Amino acid sequence: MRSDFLTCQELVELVTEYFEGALSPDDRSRFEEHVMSCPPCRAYLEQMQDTLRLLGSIPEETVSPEAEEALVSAFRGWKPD
Amino acid sequence: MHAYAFLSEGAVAPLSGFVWPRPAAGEHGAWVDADAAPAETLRGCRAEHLPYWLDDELWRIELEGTLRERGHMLLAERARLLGRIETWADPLAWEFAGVCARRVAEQAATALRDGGRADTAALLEGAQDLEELHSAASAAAEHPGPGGMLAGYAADVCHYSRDAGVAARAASVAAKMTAYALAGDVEEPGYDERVAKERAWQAAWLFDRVGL
Repeated sequence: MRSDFLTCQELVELVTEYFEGALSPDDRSRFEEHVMSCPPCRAYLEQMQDTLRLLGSIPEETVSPEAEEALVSAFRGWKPD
Repeated sequence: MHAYAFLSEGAVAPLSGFVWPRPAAGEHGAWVDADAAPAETLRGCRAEHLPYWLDDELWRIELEGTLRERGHMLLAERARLLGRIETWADPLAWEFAGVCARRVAEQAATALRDGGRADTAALLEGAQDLEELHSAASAAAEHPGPGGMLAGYAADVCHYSRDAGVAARAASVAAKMTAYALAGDVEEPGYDERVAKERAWQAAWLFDRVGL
């Protein structure tokens, strides 16, 4: 069987664990090898990295108290279907 | 230990975005310690694993400290770039992509001949570049049987290589797809070994043509 094979869909499902360093060493290797030979997955990973970098640079205090209260209220009233 | 590292343009580590300190003329690059770079950025690979990591630039790298071998890479505690290998450049990367596609096309041509389609096989073998090969392989893929199936794989290798646009990415796509295509049925015993055998052929080609 393909011990080193990872599909694009599997990669997308694993991307959060990859960024959190939660993949096993073998899965991490398979993930990285896939990225390096799949341009669309590489572009996806780069977009995710850019997103994390940009979001990580927004300080908490840029959210005004009014906006924060509105968000908290919205989440309080939110119920899953 | 001396090893090889493929990096993106500008000596950038492809997965972490870390910019390596480049060597000044006639010197080696500055040492980088693990705590000065993102996790697992200090890495290289052996020559036999080059096809797994193809990217824009190929560098010789020195790895120090406790080394961990994981999959097809070597992870180090300390590393520095020794020098760029200039022979790995876009024309050679495109040539490599073409060579990979042609290896699938050769298998397809053999199967087509065995199936009585010598004319179609000759068209495949006569294709001069990825575009011609894509046309010939796409047409040959219409034939039923193993020859047509392999021709379809050859057409896919051409298509996705050209679609990648950038030379090194075309090469990496072609290399992986070719290894899988030539390995045949995934359910047959020995599939992994057949993939590894093709990867070893690719590594030997790179070793020879890059001049390592």
